[in-house]
Amino acid sequence: MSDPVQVDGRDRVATIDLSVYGMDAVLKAAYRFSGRCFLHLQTSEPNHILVRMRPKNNESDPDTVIREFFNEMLDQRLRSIISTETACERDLIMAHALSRTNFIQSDLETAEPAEDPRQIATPDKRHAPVA
Amino acid sequence: MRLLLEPPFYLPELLAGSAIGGKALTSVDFSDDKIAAMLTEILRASISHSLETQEPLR
Repeated sequence: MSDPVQVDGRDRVATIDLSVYGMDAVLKAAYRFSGRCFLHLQTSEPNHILVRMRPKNNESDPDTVIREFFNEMLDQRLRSIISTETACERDLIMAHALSRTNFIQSDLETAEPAEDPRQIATPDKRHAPVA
Repeated sequence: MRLLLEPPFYLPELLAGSAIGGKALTSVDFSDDKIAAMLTEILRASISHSLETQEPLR
């Protein structure tokens, strides 16, 4: 199996198979690395992307950075898979949490400002001022 | 090696607003750090735009 990374001076050029990583994972990884590296993306053969990368810092090892980029793509891909797999549970938890929240409290809507039916203005004993 | 500036990686409206777009170039020399930095920023903005709007990327 050939190495997907080619060397061009300090640039590293990687051929990414979209059927493995997916476009979203490539873009998210590129976004995260755009602070550390100069990056260029372009399509190559069908369903593949060429990623050209060069560390902005001359002291960084480009071979290490491009391998970290591959790991980041894998991480993003797994996040996407887990997010899809758990979408129903996430929606259910959110719906359940919101359904138990009453945004309107009828007694407070009709209460007189001078009244304090819940004794909010009354401090707890342990917080009461010392006489 | 001459590099192509293709959507959706480089959105035309973002390229047009840059110094590169002003020269109406469709390919650039990535070995120049200043050009590479500019392209990276446009790439970053294009990705951000694509992910925020959830538009299909291809």
